[in-house]
Amino acid sequence: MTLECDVLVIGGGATGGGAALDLALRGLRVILVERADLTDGTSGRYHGLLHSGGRYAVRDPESARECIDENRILRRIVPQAIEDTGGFFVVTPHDDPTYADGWVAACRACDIEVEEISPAQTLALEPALNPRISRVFRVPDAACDSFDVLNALAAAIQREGGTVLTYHGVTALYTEHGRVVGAMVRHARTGEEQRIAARMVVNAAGAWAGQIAAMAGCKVIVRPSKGTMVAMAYRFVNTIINRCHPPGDGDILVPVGTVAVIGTTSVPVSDPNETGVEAWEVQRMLDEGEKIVPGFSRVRALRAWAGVRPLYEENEAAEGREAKRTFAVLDHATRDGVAGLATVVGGKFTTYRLMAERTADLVCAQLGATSTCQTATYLLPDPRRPSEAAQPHWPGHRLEQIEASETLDPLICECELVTRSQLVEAARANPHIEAKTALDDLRRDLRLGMGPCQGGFCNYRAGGVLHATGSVDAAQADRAIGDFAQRRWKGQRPLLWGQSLRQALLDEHIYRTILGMDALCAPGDPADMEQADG
Amino acid sequence: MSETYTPILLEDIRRTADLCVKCNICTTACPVAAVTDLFPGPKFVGPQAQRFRDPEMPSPDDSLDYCSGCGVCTQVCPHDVKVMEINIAAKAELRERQLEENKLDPHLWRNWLLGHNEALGELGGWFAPISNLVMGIPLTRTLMEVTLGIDRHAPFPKFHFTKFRSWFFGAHQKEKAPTPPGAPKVAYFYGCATNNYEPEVGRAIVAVLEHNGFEVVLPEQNCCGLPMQSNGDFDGARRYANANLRTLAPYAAEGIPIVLGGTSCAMELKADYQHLLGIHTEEARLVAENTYDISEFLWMQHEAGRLRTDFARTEAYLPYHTSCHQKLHRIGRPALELLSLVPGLRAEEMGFDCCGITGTYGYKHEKYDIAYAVGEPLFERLKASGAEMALCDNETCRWNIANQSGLRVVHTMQILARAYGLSEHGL
Amino acid sequence: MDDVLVIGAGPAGLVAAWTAHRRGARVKVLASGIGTTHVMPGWLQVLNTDGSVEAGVAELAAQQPDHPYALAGAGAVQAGLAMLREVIEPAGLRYVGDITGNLLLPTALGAVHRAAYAPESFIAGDLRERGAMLIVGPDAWRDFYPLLCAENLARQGFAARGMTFALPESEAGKFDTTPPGFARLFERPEIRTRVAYLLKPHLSGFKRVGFPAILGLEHHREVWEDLQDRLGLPVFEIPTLPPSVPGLRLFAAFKRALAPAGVQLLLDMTATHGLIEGRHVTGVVVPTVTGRQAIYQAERYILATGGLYGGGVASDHHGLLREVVFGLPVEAPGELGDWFRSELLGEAGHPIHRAGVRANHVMQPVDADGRVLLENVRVAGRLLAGSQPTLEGSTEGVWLATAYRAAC
Repeated sequence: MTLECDVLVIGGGATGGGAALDLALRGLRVILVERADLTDGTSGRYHGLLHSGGRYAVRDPESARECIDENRILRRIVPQAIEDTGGFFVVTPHDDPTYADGWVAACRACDIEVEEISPAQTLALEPALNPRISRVFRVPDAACDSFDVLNALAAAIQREGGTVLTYHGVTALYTEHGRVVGAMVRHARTGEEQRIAARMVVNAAGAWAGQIAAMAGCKVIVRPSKGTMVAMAYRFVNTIINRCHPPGDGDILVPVGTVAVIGTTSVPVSDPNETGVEAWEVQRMLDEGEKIVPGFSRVRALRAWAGVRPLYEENEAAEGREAKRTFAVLDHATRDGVAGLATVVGGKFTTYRLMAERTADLVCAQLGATSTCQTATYLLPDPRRPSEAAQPHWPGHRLEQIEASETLDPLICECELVTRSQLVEAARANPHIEAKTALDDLRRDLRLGMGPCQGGFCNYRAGGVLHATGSVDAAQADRAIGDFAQRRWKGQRPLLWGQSLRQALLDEHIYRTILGMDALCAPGDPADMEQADG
Repeated sequence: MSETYTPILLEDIRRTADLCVKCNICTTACPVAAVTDLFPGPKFVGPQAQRFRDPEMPSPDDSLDYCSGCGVCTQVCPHDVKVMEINIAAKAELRERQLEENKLDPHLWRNWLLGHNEALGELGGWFAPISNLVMGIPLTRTLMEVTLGIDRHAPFPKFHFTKFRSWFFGAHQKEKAPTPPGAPKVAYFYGCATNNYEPEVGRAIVAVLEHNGFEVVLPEQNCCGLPMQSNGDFDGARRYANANLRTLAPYAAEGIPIVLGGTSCAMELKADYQHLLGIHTEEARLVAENTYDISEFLWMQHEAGRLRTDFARTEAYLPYHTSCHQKLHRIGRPALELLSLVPGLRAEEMGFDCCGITGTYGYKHEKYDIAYAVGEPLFERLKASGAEMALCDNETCRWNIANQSGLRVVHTMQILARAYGLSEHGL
Repeated sequence: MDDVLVIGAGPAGLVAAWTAHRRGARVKVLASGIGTTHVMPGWLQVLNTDGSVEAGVAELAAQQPDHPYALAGAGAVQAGLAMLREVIEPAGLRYVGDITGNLLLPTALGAVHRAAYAPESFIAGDLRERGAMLIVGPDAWRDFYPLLCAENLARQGFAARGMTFALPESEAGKFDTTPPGFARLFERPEIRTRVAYLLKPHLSGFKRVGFPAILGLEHHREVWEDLQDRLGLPVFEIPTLPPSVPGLRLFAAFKRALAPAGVQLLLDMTATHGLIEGRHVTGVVVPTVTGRQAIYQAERYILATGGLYGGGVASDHHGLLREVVFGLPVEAPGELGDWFRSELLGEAGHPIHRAGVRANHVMQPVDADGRVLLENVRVAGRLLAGSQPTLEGSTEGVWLATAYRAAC
């Protein structure tokens, strides 16, 4: 059977999700395919910062302007994913004090609100900060949960008549008479192949966009740049902290949900699947963190992971942070003589909606559709509370819910306060619940296993609940538990010293000694481990 | 970074939530969680909930209110999480929200009243016979329960007409032996309970210290602030704390030890002023460093070879309850060590974590049954022990245990005073 | 001054304290907090083998002369167990099994573990017997999944089925009931009456009934026997997620035995360092809450502070390992990145498991050349180097053997 649509969007990150929604809202029939789960790529592996644009104001004002515009839009359309933490740019003793004035001017030129406040006032608000900061500027940064954004986008796409197929990887693009007319997708678990016919294909595969374009014989050079981040076990700042200096390693600290994330490094890699974290990267994050928050390297680091920036330069010149962070929408008809295919590449999470809009503009022009973009005003639904208007994100919300409840809803994940009914609900909505990746998918929906114990207690419980409610059989439950344990382990392993090490030994004790997990499921297949993490 | 700077990150007691590995050992040891469904346990309201608390927003977790503050969680935690301290700090925030939301909640007034028991004691003492009579009428207690939520069965000690302080500066100055020249001084912080209700404990402590050649001095003092602190009124507790620090610091600065008989009040001076109330001053540090539990102090004297051991043979078996807050001092069991010096005396630790009352917790009507259930195994054990008298070094625990077990319960110093032959001051 | 100061209140510290007490010493126990009793499954693993455990231990000791079993010597496991039994039997707790062969016991996930000894209440679950088992547990309880356990056992060829029963009392509040919470519920006879009533109609064809290890705390034996009577079938317990009820029972039994014996068990008393003169410890320092450096002295010190999990060895982000009380040398297995392998549950385990303090045959700490570092210190339990307990299945055996030897 062949599926048919107007536009096939490849890539379940923010850009692909945004493009699919934009097109659906313009009346086109869309199918979104993603090789793993939504946000499995770079969108799910970022630090959680919704940029004000300040970071780019000096060197890349175009990106900066895009950021501040989109920042204002996203706060309106997806408040449930955004916590208005605000942001500080701080001048530490390690920063060139002459940079700040020029930076302020550059921000103002980009229409970014900047307000200087005294270090004393800042320290009263954020007592953990380095007391030797000399200047502080407040900007409208925010913390943004990309899992929530994608869940909202997916719900909206489906509401508008579109289709979302996760765990469907593209194996081939079909061309007829020099025009891309569809793709073959393979179900990651069953291996079943299916053809999707489309009037137009959008390549929104991010760091993997070059590989997709190559399937149609087009050369798109994406320079993957790996950025490593470390989540510290609790949020010791409540405002986003940026160093006021030219962008560098480990100079952003983001309170996101219950943790504080520091990032990032910037390492050119040859393969976008290369997301291993190296010891020096962790050490760099700790050393840089120490400059922002004294004592940083002595508190508990929870988890390290890396995302791969899909940097794009048509002229192949700049690398890493030298590359511009704007984006490009490539019309392969004019560029390469291949019609029916558009590629969107570059950019950053904050500007996903704009990237999607520009891409949709191109697609509509080619398909002769005349309707205009609505996503700047279209309020995204909150799948967790479909009947209500979306509320701003507040970390205390889950605690409040439990307090407000009159009856028992077992807490499966004690660190992130995930209840049994939330888990059952999310499992019901997941079409791939028998897959070994089931628990990792549920993690993205619910933050299951993302707290200090990293799944030590909730992994067995979640597997048990899936089995008890009939979603999976015992063998599937075992595989899912084993897979989740191994995935959590991957992010813990670079950080095993001190209290994290003790936690890891307790977790190992639970799975090996108490449960005998190792005897029940074969050791993880390394190939499977390449995907999702974060 | 300068050498003396301690990063806030490493200083803040709430940071210790970071050390939790979710083993729930604290929950298994929590005496309150063991007896009620209303309290989810210290790990739940402590290191777990702490991650979701936002300094900008009121803490949304009312179940925290059922924490009694006994601190068993902190003691058993093998990972150095200051569970109880995290909870008490969060409780203060909870109270602020309650105050904002509903000033007329009778429990708030009750908690205010229990927090101000110093004033209560003062007042009651002026009219001691009448106060005791009124408090002795069942109707009074019923009314208090209905209007204020103070449980009618909770132990109310008798007010004393002659306060300890008046005795010390009055009768005692006349009758005591002259102070030997060059006698080392000890500053005695007696606390509200000794002053108003149990002056005999204060007299025993003075007698034991003077028998060992110390000159006892009484600094100006007021309530230590603990009742307010545990009822979430940190501002009120800080006012008391600062007043005490002002009068005690000069003694500490001279190296004069400050001793206390009450183990909970002592924790205030030793640690809570700094770590819970956040008073990080030189005065607070000096006072803390020079403050000792009376048994701790005397055992140190013994270890230095300075304690008199002219104890009379005392054939007795005395069950001993270590109060929950005493364990937080991290001083071991100096009272048991001292008692072991008395020939013929056998004191046995009962090994129960808490008697249930934890300061003012068990006075509250909605918590009375919980507090009773917490202490019940101890009461039963004491009743079965065959002893007529038991020992406990903290006042509300003493009253509670006496009330529930029917045994007479006294302070270790009362026994030592008697063994020294100074019984006119003690028992 | 005491004769023996035990540092650490985990299983090794407790067994060592009792052993020292029984040998006539005046003993005190200082510990940071409760130890690994509360996370232990409850069974006593001595060695993971299909053959004779005793022979396996002897072989291991012969092959690895630095292994704690080799240091503690033959018979130490049984001697340690005898000490443990003295403490727990008055509390109604019995360990069954013997050193010649392993029991085969089901885990909560339905895997099979070998253990030489197990609490009496575990024994009917021995999978060497083929009788069909019904695995049961409270409905929707987060800490045990009887259907998953049974299906996994069935997949491996054991006759097992699972079912749940409703226990409204556990849902009376809005908060989860912990394993000890359930254990307290089971101490109420009316709960057992109802559980038996609910299970009775489903027992035909089954030879035994498995529960999660929640059958009572203080009155465990009575609870367990009563359930067997009511159900008319052997009943067994399966350990599940911590906190461990079987471990709590052990700890409570020690607490009850030590106080009347005059052994003070002092928690929240972290020994920060030792006072050392030459090769002799003259005291350990335990700061009071005010920071006063209180000194505790004894003739002999038994260091049972645990390994990296227990807190006896600290690690930092520079890749350094440190024994926390006396600063005894702990060799790290290479750089930080080499401590753990990329697979969490791989067959080879993790190199860090072997890290610890080296000791000689009387458990005195020694340096790499075998020279005694501190003459009046004995090392016991997980702090010792040279074993991989989780892989060898020797965790509890090493506790018992080394605690006994250290206290002699």
